[in-house]
Amino acid sequence: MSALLDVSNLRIELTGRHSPVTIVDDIDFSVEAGEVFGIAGESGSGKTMTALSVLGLLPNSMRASGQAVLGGRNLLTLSPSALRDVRGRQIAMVFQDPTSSLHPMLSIEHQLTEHLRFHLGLGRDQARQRAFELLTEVRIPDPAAALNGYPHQFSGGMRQRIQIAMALACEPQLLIADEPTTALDVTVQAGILRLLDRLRRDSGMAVILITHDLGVLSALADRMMVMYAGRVAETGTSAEVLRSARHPYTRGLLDSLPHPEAADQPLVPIGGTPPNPAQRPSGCAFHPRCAYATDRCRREVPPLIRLDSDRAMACPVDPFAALALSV
Amino acid sequence: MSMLDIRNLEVVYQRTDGTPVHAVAGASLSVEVGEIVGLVGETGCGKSSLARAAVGLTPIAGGEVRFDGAPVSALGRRARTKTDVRLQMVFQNPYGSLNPRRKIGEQVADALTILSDGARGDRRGRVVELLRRVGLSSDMADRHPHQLSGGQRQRVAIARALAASPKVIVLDEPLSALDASVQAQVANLLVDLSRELGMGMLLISHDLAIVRHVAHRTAVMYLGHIVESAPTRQLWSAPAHPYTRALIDAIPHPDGAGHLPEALAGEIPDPAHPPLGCRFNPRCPHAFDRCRVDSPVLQPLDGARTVACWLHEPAEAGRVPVVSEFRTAV
Repeated sequence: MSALLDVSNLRIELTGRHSPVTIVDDIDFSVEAGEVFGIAGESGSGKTMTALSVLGLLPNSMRASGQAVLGGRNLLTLSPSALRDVRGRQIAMVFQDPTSSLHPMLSIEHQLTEHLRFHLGLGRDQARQRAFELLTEVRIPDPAAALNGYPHQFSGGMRQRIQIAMALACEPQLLIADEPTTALDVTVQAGILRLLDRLRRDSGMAVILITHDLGVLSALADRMMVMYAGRVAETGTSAEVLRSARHPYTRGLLDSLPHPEAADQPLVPIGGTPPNPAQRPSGCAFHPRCAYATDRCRREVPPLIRLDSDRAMACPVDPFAALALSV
Repeated sequence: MSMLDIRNLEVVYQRTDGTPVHAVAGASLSVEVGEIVGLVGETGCGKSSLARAAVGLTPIAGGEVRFDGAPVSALGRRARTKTDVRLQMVFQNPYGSLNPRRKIGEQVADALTILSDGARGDRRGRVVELLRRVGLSSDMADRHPHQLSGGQRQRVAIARALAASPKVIVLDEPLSALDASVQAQVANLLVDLSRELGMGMLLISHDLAIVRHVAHRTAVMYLGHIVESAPTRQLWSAPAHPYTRALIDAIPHPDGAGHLPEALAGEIPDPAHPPLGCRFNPRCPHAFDRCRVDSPVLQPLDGARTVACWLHEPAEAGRVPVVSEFRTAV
């Protein structure tokens, strides 16, 4: 069975007056139909740019090379008009901040029906009917009244639901959600996570979920990829990656999180800060922050080592190999 | 007498149409010497208003805030009083609280100048000492804010607050703009500072998990009221208020188990038109008749715990012995 989206040798460079800066350095991943694929990483890890490149939405100063194949076509080489057709119909995106992705002066109905009419050629009444169904689908109370409302009249959680309704309008095969719950309270976040989970179960839509929150990935993602400084540190099923992390960065991230069983202990942070892409350390980009780094880590970029059919990680030192075996 | 004592605090804003909004509607909270108190709650519950009122940045409509025994004066054009200077605040966004065009060292020195603390000559020495105190090297003094990472900038903001040798620092979401790995560094710094300098801290956060690690005591706020306050460990192991329970159940755990967190039904209501009775009753799975009419007050439960919930009223004993888990169908 071939994947819904197959990304290989993806490379994103920031071009400009200075020498090009590599934002994403040769990554591969694939997303199957109906699965939630998580991308985790801190700021500057390249996770958002990876998603934007698939949609052809990179800023003008950035250039992507490699392949991102959806339905037999390489999205990275499509013409702008062909891409416009893919966006919205086959792939839709939900951003972190629903306030800035909804137009403040247009009614919800206007914003929800615009692309229904554009992409699906629906008439005014049909589009309104579909918009009503979509708001019901994402559990907006009183959808009829909501259609006549404006974004500022809704709470952050409701705006995020409206944004998801817009994304669902053309029944996309793939939804890319970039930090969809980061701006929300935990109680509201839980509702959005449950909504996304229900939608993908009901419609078979695949989701790429980008977040820095490993807890969110644990709740929703089937498989996940941990990125650091534009490269893949570790990838596998969420259960395996989170329960027996093999890469020192993944383990460091997990250790730095508050843990229920160790509430009285100080947190164990990773020293230093994530690197600026323009000043990426040599060799393994994580080596200045890694307790297990050797001379080789400072010199050579570690290759991704395949552990089993869907598990791989990029640390030749592999300090947690023994631990993984005992699990 | 507590170092920082907030009693029946009310903060009222006026909407443009004249409707008063009670952002803080009679909240009481205290911070002792060397104690870290966490204040958690959803967006719009009034926690930031409480923080700002506590340091005199927002006018108080009712109740009082006492610091070191004396009422905190509202911040006006004049300099703060000598006692009020020992009460400091750190904000969420370190980008916003530093001047982008001036060197870090100068900005930390400003705090010392305003306090006329020490002779001019040894100010540089004090600046270096303050930077070291927050884990920054002395060469940071000659850098500009944009050359620092988010975590380093937040450390600078803390160093500036420390310049006043504060007895209490109020921190409004000091960790939420930081990356996970850096968050832990700053959280540990706060714990160390509180312990070593005997400082009290009021830590406002929407992130319960981090508050759990840092705070000795945690207060939970809902729609302008404190609904529960307890030693952090107890609050987590046996939350007494249904809202506390809901907050804890909503946190996703990175354990790879694939459990969806429990969602709390409904939304936080408009603070201009709070529900009658207990303000949480429309969202509470345990609400009964009394909750819809009478507003419960914060009462001692046992030991150091206080809770504002009719379920814990002796007369209602046996109604719901423990706050059970939420089950949601979203």
